[in-house]
Formats: sequence, structure tokens, C-alpha cells
Amino acid sequence: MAYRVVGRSVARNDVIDKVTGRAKYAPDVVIPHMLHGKILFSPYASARIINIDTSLAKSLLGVRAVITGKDVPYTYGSVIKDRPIFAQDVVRYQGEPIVGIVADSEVIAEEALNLIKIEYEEKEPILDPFEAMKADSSLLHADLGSYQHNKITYPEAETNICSHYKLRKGNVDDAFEKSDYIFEGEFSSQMIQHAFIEPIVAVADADNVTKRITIWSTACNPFVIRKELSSAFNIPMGKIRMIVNNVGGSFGGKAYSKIEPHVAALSLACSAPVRLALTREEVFNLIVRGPGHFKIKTGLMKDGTIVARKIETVWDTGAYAECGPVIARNSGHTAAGPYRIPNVKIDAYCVYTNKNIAGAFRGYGVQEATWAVESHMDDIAREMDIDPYDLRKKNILHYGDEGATGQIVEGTGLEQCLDAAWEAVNRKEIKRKSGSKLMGRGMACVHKATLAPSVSSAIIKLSEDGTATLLTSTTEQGQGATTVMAQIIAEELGLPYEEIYVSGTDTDYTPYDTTTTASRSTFSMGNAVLLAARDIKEQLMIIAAEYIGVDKDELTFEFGKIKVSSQPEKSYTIKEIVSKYYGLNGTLIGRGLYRPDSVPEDSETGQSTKITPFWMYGTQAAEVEIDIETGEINVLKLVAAHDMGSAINPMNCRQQLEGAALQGIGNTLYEEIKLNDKGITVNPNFHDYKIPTAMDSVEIESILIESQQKDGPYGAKGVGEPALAPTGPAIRNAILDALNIGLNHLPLTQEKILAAIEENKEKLEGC
Amino acid sequence: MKKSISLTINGTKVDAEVDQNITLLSFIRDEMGLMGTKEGCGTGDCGACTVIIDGLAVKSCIYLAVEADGKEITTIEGLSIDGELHPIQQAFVEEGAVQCGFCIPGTILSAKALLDENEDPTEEEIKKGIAGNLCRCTGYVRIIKAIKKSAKVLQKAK
Ligand code: FES
Ligand code: FES
Repeated sequence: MAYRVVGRSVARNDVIDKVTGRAKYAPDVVIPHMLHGKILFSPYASARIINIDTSLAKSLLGVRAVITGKDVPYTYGSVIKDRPIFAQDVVRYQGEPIVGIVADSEVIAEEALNLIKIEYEEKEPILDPFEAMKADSSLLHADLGSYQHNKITYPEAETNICSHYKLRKGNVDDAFEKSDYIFEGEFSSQMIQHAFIEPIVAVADADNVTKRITIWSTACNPFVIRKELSSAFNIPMGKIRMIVNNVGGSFGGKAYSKIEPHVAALSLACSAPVRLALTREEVFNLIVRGPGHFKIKTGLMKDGTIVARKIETVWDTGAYAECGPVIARNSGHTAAGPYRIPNVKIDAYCVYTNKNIAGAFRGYGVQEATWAVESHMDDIAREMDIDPYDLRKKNILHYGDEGATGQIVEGTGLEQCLDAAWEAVNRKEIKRKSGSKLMGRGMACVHKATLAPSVSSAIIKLSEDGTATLLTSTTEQGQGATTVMAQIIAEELGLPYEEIYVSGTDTDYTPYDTTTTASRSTFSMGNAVLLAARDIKEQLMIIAAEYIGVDKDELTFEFGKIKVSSQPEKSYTIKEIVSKYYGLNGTLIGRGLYRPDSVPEDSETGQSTKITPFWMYGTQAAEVEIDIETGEINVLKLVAAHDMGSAINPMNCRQQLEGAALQGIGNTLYEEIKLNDKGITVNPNFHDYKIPTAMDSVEIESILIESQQKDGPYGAKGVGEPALAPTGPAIRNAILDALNIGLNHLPLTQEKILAAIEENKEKLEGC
Repeated sequence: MKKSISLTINGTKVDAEVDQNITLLSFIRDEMGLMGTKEGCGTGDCGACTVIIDGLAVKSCIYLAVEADGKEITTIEGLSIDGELHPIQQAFVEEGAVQCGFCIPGTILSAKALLDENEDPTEEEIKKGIAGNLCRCTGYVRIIKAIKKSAKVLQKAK
């Protein structure tokens, strides 16, 4: 069926505001008589607080409030409720908030910070997750066993393991016995940062008599934060109002509470509006993607059929759980790779250390798990002397196969992605050697689940002039969600795309949505929006029947026009019907609620017939060139073929693939948050933490595979997160192809590549 | 200590009393209310705060307001005239160069300073021209295309 708006690369509906500088972000919020907050963060990764003396700071002219953990003895966290707003005697990481200050200006607040005297007893930080897992390790959270936690978190009391996720399918031990070959590998991924360009900022306006709190913030899941605040402060949800307009990039780093509890506490303390803006350094110290460690063992038959895979992963989640347990678990859905393997065993440990807090990063552990398993796949292919493409082709999940989580594959896009990406990178012969440069090609696949269970709701207001406004709580953080939602309404109601307006999030007015993460919005909110549009259509038919004076069954709806079967020459526009019905003024209200199907996992085996409403698939292929004299690597070409289900806006889809590719190149080749032996970040700024600039941009070929997701809106599903995952292993496997050297520990810096070349001189002779 | 300065912002003359140590970025945003200029780092490393001062792209977070005395400043708000987008803005729209948009005002101004100076830049020169403007969303591919396209449009208009 041909669509008019869906499937077209219409210009994003936020783009004019963004090129003229009119788009409003949380840092742009100004409220009359707004005060300014500052937080004093711990300089130590592990310490006891002996004494806090705030008297001098309090007496400084222009200081309005000074608060510590004593004033707000609350904890928060919706995965595990383990985190104090301000430290309660114990410091568990550098960057732990200790004191909050409100002053007339940022300058005065800063000055007041310097007047605070804190006596600490510094302790030796636990920085190694393997040490932290030992039975005799000291505990970061002695009370772990009594903390509240969600259903998909499996804490081990009296240890530092805040969650142990298990997946059990078949019998790996038997299968290894019967395997012709067994291969093992160890891989790791480093600590990195999201490096969104908009820092984390929040403004709160709270009243300490009524306890009503309004917060403008950079959050990407305002309803989750509202719930966390409600539980921490013991204030009913309805009294908390979260407002989010444009978000300047998140990549998962702005999910869950960041500084919202602190700004709320500061505003409540003085019953006045307070702005809290983190510096870039503070942002770097607030949230990271934590390091991951992977051990994989795979059993195969002679013909290359994979029969068993065992994986152990350790997630260094830092001082508080944040969403670490969800990362550990979700990585488990992906970790075996998108292959048909009858016997799988996965243990994922999420471990507390005195390090920076690990949060979601574009894929909840999927990027890291894909790094390990897809690197391991190429190592196997090399050892067995099989083409890596053939090894994948032979084992890849097809329609009707059962995946590692016990879910039957319903989509078909994966094989198409594999074929398309590999074809594209192999179109031209490569010269394998030129001077000191060696060339190679590599590939990697990904499959990724989305969040479940979840809820999305949408309201469409159709005005008397036939224009529509969508109220939705999907936050626009650059992914183009507001555009896709407007396209869905325009298509369904036959209205001009330009005349659909989309709200920002305001929890007082826009209806519930679980979160803007997990690449769930196009599918889940898209379906809610579609239902709301259908609700409008249904109401239109009823009032049209009344207005025209015919039976409703005689009416049909075509591209925004209502037709009567007995009067084929006549048609009525939406505007005509609505304005006639209401007289001069009025709006029609359509409602949509979508709760995708899912089945909870078994806590011992991780098995579920439907762990996720849909799976996302992709394959990337890279062509690289390495100078064996310097170790310098050049990514010559990157192909990204991903299954969109269907591309509601092909340009938006390509934007996701292109942006993810360069992010992936930075994550793979040079980005790394470095801590010293005291657990203090040494490079918390864009000068020392290098992210790709325009000089690093590469040729990216994006290929959109459209397998039609059967229950997706117009066949669509998500794409943003899986787009990042295969880039790293595709590059790594291209290096393997060029040098016959497998590099297993990220990042693959020039120095690391050069050192590996030096070490493996003899291997290179033959190249 | 306050000092009086007099400068031109987007064609309008402005006289103001400013603290000696406030940055031009803070003056533009907090005093003038021109929120299109963004702060990404405050240390001169990201380019979100880029404005044009007497024809040169400058990071306003590491530039004192008092230094701007007597100078001509262009911010993103000064680019579109009479409801018409500037050709660079138009090309960014058409090429799909924008995602979250936070880096975009700064990048567009760097591009403008570049094209005012060099009307037909090579791809390498474009990349260099915006190398100080970090973007985490786009991979720069479409930004580079948009700048190329706007160079052509601007040349034709001459
Ligand atoms: S804010 Fe000025 S360079 Fe980043
Ligand atoms: S568009 Fe988001 S940082 Fe450039």
C-alpha cells in the first residue's frame, strides 16, 4: 500500500527552531527571581565523613540555604533503592554529593563552597570488580539484602554483587562433551562517557508548605524520575511536575534521576526556584558507561554448527546500582549472539566498586556484549579456517528459530542485513598491502531486545480548523521521535504533516510513557499514537453520520475525507465536520494506550516465550587500513545495514546509523575514562577525553532493511541503539583480517595496535 | 568592578555595564537573553558557544565581555532575516544535518565565518573549519554536505 507521509523523508518538525536558535532546552529555562545551586562533591572515592562545618558558608552574604545528608535523609533508585541524595556519613565514589548550596548567584554559591570544611577519614577504595566479588572483600553496601529493588534485579546479600542474572537453556556441559571443537576467549570493554553536548541542568520551583514541586530538566524518562522523587521525598506523584522540552543528546546518560533529587531538595530548602547546572567536569563524574569483562566458551561441530555457548560477564557498576542490574540482564539477552544455539548458559554479575556510577549507554550492555561475542566469532572462524561470513550464515537465527531467551524469532531481517552489509563492503577488490599499510575487512552482527513491560499513552486534540496537536511524553533528544509521531498522525488522519503539532513532556498534562530509551518509542509510542488517531477517526464517523444524516455504516474514511457510499460525488473534510459539530469552538480528543505483549522471565533460567515485543537486527562491515610502522589505523569505509521494520522517515533512520557509526568509532579506537589508583577521574573534560571531530568523520554507507514488523506502526520498530553495537567488533575483525592479530581489550588505541604489531612480528611476515 | 562597553549585536548597537570578569557567553545569554548561543563545556573545547566577532568564529565562553567593546558580534539569532532562513540554515534543514540541535548554532556560525572568508572550500577545509565544533549525534556527514551545498547557493547568489 502506498502511503503519503509515512516512508517519506519529510524535514524534521523541530529543525527550523534548531537552526534559528529558538529551540528551548532545560539550560535555557529562566524563572523570575531564580536562585542558583551548587553541589560540593567528594574528592575521595572511599571515605568516612567525620564532620561537616557549614557555618562560614551559611553566614556568607547572598547564601540562602546550605543542606547536607542530615537535612534530607532520603534514598532513591528505582532499580535498587540504594542511593542517598547527599552522603550519609559514607562516601562511596569520587563525585558523591556531600553538601548543597543555594545562593543569589552561581559566583556566591561557588564562593560558599570554598568555605565549607569537611573532615574525612580516607579509605582504600575497591576498584577491581573481581576483588570486590571475593567473599572476604569489604562491602560497599552492608544493607544490600534489605534494599528495595525491582523484579528483574537479583541481589546477593552480604556481597558486593548487586545482581546476578542467569540464563540457562539446554545443557551446555553435555553439549561441550559432544562438541568437535571448543574455543574460549576473554574480552573487555572500557569505561567511557556519553559526551552529549548539552550538560545536565535542572531548575526546580518547590514550595515547602504545599510540597508542590515543578522541575524542568534534561531527563529522558521524566515519569521514572517523578516516581523516584515521590518515593524518596514521600510526596504524592501528582504534586510533582516534570517538564522536559528539547534534550541536547542523551544516549541513555540522562535516563533515571541525575540531579533532580538534589535540585528538588535545594528548592524545598528555601521555597524558591533554584537552577542547578553541572559543569562539564561534574557531568563526566556523574555518569559513565562502566567497564565490562567477558569470558566466552563455544562448542562447535566439524561443519561449523554451534552447539553450545557459555558466557560469564562481570559489570563494574560503580558505587550505586543506578540501572546496572538492568544492563547486566539485558546484555544477557544479546550475549550469545544472534545465532541458533541449543545450549546456552550465561551468568552476568553486576558488581559494586568505588568507581564512577555506570548507567545506560545506547543499548544497555548490548554494545559491550556484542563486542565480545562478535570478536569471538571471528576468532573461531579463523581457527577453523571458515569464512567469517559463512560461519555466521550457517548459524544465524531465522524465522521460527528459538533464541537463547526461549523466544521464537518472528522477524526475518537479520539475514538480509548480513548479506547486504557484506556485499556492500566487498563490492571492490581491496589491495591488501601498500607500502607499510595493510588492509582488511571485518563484520559483526547484532540482535537486541527492547524494554518490557512498558506502557505508552497518547492524546490527540483535533481543533475545529482540522489541525491536530499530539500530547506525548516521549522526549525529543535528537532521535526525531516528534517527527515520526506527526507522520503517523498525518498518515492515519489524512492531515497535512505540517499541521500536526507535537508537545514537549509535562507530566501535569501529557499522558504517561514509561521512558524514552531502549529504542522503544517508534514502536510503543507510535502504536499509542496510531490508536489515538483511530479513536479520533471513530468519533469523526459518529459525528459525521449525525451531521450528514446518514447511517454510520454508509461512511468511509479516505485520506482525510469522509465519503458517503450513496453519494459518490460528495465528500466532507475533517475541518467541515468538526467545525459544524462544534459550531465555533471545540476540540475532539482521541486517546491511545499501548501495552506491548511480553512474558516475565523465569528468575533461575531467564527463559520467557516473549522477553521483548520485538527484536532489532543489524550487521556492520568495516574496511580498515593499518600502518604497521606507526600502528595508525584508518577506517576507510563503514557499512551499516539495519532492519527498521519499515522506515517511517528514511532520513531519520540514516541519521541514526551515521551518528552511531562515528560514535562507535570513537568508543572503539580512543575513548576512555581514566581513573588513577585512588579512583579519581583524570580526564573529565573534552580536552583530555577526545570524542570524534569532523576531522575523524568517515564514509558511511547506510542500508535500510525493511522486514515489516507485524505489530509495529506501519511495520516500524526501533533502530537507534542497535546501530552502535556492531561498529566496534566490525573494526576489530577488520584488523584481525589485515594483521592476523586479535585485539580483545578496548579501546584499540594506536599505541595498543603498535605494541601488538611489535609482539607479533612473525605473524605479520606472511601478510 | 563594572566597566561600560558598547558593541553591536546582530546589527543593533548595545551599551552596557558589565562585570570585568564575565564571559561574552554569559553576557549574550544572561544579559541579552539570546539563548541560541549554547554552553557545552565552558572551557573552550566544544564550540557550542561559537559566535562571530568581526568576521571570525570565536568561542564566547573563553572570551571576556569587556574584550568585545567596540566589536561587531553575530549570534545565531542574527542569521535569518525577515522570516527567511540564511542559506546555511536552509541547507542544514534540507540535508538533514540536525539531530538534537545543541551543537548546531555554533556549527552554523563556524560555517558562516568559513564561507565568508573562503567561498569555495574543499571538503578538507570544511572539516577543518568546523573541527572545533563537537557534535555527538550526527557523525558530521550531513553537516559537511550541508555546508558544501550552502557554499554553492551563496556563490550563485553573488
Ligand atoms: S562552551 Fe565554549 S567551547 Fe564549549
Ligand atoms: S546534533 Fe546533537 S550534538 Fe550535534
